[in-house]
Amino acid sequence: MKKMLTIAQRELAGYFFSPLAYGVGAIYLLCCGIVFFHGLDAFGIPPVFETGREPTMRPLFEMMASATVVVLPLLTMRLVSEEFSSGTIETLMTAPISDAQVIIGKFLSVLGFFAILLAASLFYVILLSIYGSPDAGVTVSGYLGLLLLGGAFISVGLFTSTLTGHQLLAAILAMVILSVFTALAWAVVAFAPQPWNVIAVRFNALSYFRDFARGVFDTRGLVFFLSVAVFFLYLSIKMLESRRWR
Amino acid sequence: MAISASSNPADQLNTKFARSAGASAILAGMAVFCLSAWLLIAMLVSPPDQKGSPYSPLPYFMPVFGRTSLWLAAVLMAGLAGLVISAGVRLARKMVWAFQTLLAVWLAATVAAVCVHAATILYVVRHMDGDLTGGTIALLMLACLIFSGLSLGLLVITVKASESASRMRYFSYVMTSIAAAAAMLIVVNIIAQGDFYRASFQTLGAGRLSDRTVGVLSALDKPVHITCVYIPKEDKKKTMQYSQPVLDLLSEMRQCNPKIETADASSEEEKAALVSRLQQLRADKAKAYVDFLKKFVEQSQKIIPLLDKDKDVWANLGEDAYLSLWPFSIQISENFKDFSAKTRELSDQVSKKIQKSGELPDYSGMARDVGSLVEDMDELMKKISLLIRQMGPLNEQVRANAPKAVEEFDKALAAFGELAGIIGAKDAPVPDDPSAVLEKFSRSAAKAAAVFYAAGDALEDMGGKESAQLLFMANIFRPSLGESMPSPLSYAQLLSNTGGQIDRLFSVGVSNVLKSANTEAQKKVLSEQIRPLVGRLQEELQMIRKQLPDAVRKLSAEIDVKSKSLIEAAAQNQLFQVARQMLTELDKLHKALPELPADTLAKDLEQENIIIVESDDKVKVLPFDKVWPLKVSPWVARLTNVEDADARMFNGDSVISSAVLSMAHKPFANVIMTYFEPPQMFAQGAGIYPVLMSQSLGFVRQQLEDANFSVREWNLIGDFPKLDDDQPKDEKTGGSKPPATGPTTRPSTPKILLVLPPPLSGNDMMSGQQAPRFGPEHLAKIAQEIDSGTPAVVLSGYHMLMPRGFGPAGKEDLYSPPYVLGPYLRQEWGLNVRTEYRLFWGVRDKADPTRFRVTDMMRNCLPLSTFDDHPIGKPLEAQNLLWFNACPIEIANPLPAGVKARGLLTAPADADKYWATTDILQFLPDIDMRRDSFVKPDFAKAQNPDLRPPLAVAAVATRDSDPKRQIHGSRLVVLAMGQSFSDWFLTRSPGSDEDRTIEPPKADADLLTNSLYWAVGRESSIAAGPLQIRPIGKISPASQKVIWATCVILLPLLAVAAGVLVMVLRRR
Repeated sequence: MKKMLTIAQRELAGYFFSPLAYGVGAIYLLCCGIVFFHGLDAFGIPPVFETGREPTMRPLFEMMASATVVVLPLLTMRLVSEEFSSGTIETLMTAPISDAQVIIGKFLSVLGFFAILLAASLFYVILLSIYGSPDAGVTVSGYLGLLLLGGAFISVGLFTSTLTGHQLLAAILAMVILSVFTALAWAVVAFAPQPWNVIAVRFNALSYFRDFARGVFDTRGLVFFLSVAVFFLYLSIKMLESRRWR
Repeated sequence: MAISASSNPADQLNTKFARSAGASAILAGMAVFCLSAWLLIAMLVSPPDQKGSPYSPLPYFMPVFGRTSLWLAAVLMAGLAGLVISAGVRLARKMVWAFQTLLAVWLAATVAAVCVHAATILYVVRHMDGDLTGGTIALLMLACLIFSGLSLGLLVITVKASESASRMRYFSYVMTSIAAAAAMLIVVNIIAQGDFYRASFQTLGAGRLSDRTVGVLSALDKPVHITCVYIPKEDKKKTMQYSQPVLDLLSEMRQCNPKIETADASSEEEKAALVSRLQQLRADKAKAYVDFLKKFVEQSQKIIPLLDKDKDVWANLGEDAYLSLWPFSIQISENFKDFSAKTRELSDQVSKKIQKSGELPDYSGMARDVGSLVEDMDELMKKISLLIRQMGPLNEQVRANAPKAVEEFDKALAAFGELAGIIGAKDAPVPDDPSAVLEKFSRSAAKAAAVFYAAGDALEDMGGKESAQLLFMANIFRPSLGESMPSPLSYAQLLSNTGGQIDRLFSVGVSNVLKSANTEAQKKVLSEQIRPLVGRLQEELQMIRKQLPDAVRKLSAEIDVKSKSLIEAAAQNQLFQVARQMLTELDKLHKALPELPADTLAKDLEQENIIIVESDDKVKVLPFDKVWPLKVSPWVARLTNVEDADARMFNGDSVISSAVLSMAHKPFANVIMTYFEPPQMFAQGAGIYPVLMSQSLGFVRQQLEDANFSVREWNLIGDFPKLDDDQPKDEKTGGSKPPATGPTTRPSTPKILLVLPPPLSGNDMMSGQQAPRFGPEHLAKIAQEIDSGTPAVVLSGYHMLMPRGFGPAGKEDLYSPPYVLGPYLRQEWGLNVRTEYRLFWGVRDKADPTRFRVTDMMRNCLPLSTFDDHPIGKPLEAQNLLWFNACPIEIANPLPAGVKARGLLTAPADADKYWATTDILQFLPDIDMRRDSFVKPDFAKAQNPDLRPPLAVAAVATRDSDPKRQIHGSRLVVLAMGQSFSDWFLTRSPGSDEDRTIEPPKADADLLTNSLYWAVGRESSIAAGPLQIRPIGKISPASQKVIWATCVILLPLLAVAAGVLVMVLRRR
């Protein structure tokens, strides 16, 4: 556990020494700010902060959830790929630490960074509380949903990062996989006939998240996010392990 | 595990096991190929619209996957079989790629088999009482087991093909573990999908299903389909903002009961498809109507040519035709032209509407239009036939009777000549004594008049007695009196009228002249009036006489061929025969149509942003304004200059569940709105002051109807309203049984009285007028109903009157008329309603704690939601409730025998801000002048001392049956803030508090609804209305700019700046 946390700490610190994290963070906050004030017409997302409107973070949560499809692969792409390309993987493999500890440590680091990004958005909650009375339950549930969704998506990104030494390729691969759980699932639900659309609903990560965003806790969403996270973490561990016998 | 170091890949495979695995793969591949061939052959040999033979796999798969998917599956299976066979052959030759491929295929197959197996077991467990029989379940399980076993076996054999401790063996193990993890992932999710826990985190509960909705939906035993038709148009964002909560709510409803099916129609195409489906649904329901309309369209194709033909026949009769002697022909032709056009237009319209998809026809309305047109046409044709039928005999009669009639005319003319001779010519000298002449003239005039009457009768009957009217209508039978002016009167009428003139003027009139006038005057009358008049009449009669032969000739002449054929057809009832047969048939069909309730669905569907609720064959459209009502009604917004007049609140939970409730269940009870309202003419100026008018309860009435009550009215001046005595149905919405209702015959739908406060009778000057007033007989009517077991909710409140008079009003002028229901409530129920007191609240003054500060807003509304522990008030405790003109209720101790009463809503004893007073004039003037008013309650004064809390403003009571007094058990609720339920109070903002406009207290109405639910024994239906969440308040432009800059610029810049700083520091 200690070793795992050491890796997580090291990786998290690594983010703060990397310009990419700041860039991603800045863009993320910019998007949040724009949605908070203006909404996104193209996606039918209304503004959050407008006189007379119900004070809810939900539109912002939904935007944040959609943005994770792009943002999280950018954050996870370097986790293992960088080790491959820089050759530090050999050091890591020979260190007295298991592959699982490495993977989970890295996973926790990105999750921590993602939580920090989310924490920045608490500023918006404070603003809403000053000018209205947002539903605390919905807000808490939304953040919980974002963390669960983030966890699942980070594990996917981490897995693709173990596949290749090219960071960009890893990011693109992760985005493709995440699109299957989001855009493709949505398209199948919307346009495919039964039973395919019924099956696709079960794979739509954003539909599970939507429940959390509106303050509904559903064990189906919880199980989906956790099981996906565990599965892809397991895949990542196995991929890392495979370097020992390939 | 030590890994083999051999560099030759083939060395990593075991020859013996590779051959076994390859052979197994070939066998399995062939089996898959056979399956795909079976499927393909079945698809090829069975026509697209048939499911196939008993040996075909299609009946099992077609309903789930559809034909296209099966084609695809068959082709894929064939491809997979080819791949497996090929890989099997290659594995036998120790090809590594074949090993990897087969391993992947068997792993996938095993995972699929395990998942299907798990899903089947779960399905069976969850649907033990479902449609599947034990045999089918066993077969399904066996198939899954065999398939899982085979896949697993093949997998084991394939793994064995790898050399132990080789990379391939390691690869096999890793792949297997990953597949196992994938299988676990899927199985866990399958389990989670079936057995899940769902709870709402919402603290305010805006989008949560209320307990009542959950109750309503859980009790549903038939499918209900709810469609949200919110189509973004001009303001897409706004529509989305409104549609999202609706969709969320529908999603929750679907989760609550799978019998609820929901759909989102957010485009015009989807709406068109929905309308088309409804069209089909309604067409099925209104089959007789559709058949009738189709028949009309079909028959109209035959009727229109007939109408056109008849139009031409009547238009082309010719001027000399016998039938053209009457003005009908042109009129008939015009009528047929109109009817032809109308029939064509209606037929086209009907045809389009019943065939066109995407539009919802109003079958009932269309059938009504068609029926009306058909009836009009048939009626007209019938009238024309009757008319024409009389024209043949008329001709013959004229021929027979004309000589006598002409003779009579001549006699009249001769009689008139005699009269003219008596008075002499116009220019003859006037006799010195005209009285003799005038006397003779008068006597003769009386005789002449009789001759004229006889001539008139003879002419009138010339065509036969039955055809007199017809003869009158003939143009030719009306002579021309001037050059171009035809007389409006017929020959017969002219002669009769002339006879009348002779009688009136010449006989009676002249006789009067003789009696009253002197000689000179008589001379003047003779020369200047009688002679000119007689002369003119004589000329006219001669002119008419000259024209008469022509008329007689034409009317009696041989009838022309065209007219003759029409008259003969009419005589034989064959005129318009074909058309009339068709019209009669359509008319019969129309009259035999079953009653179709007046339907506004077509119109409702034209609205924007609606929700459609369907159950069985019933459809209800919920308009946008109901689901998203305005917070403040438009007229109030105009009057009070509310800042955000467009602000709306979400009321979907209540509205949709009410719609479901009212569609799936019959009304819970008939709410009898009981009031005493004398006719307006009596009430005005008669010293009768209404406290709460029945018309002012529109909001409450609507809410009650939405709550599945049927609202009726009972003006105590009249009799009890007639109620439908429906047979009870099995209802499953729960709720305890209403109290015992006694042995009297009562309708199966319970009734409940909602008693409005009776009007006050003033003692001002006008009150002496005789007007119906609330009296003991009216009270007896209410008491009798309650005593017979009818539960009641009584609305009451502060009642005071300021009499109208001269000079300023003082405290002493304020008086309280007795509350007429008071004695009954006190004696029978132990509830003393103190209508002379009004509840107030204020802020205790820190400087002088014995007094309170009261503002204008505090005067207008009393915030109170401290409900006692009772089902009625429980859901309302967190609501923002405000009351108007509330008065205290005292509960007697001891209570009358058999009565249990308790407070429902009480200003608690420890609340340091309430009191009740009769002395409101002590501070009202100050408030009216917008000054802070300090009020010092006087709890010790001798007369009407102010009252301290606890003060109940609402109370509930139950009473047991008392056979001795013939009283049946019942429930009663007294709400002593009755005026708070008026539209005026519920839809207006009562004022502002700390610069914030207070929302209208619409939730107040829920107290009344809940009281009715409780009184009728429906506690489970008790619910609260829309929850009002405080929206984002007003943001000043300056603050807006600062916040915008912080969020959109500063925060991202801070992130970038931090990054730059870190980079710079690291470089150092």
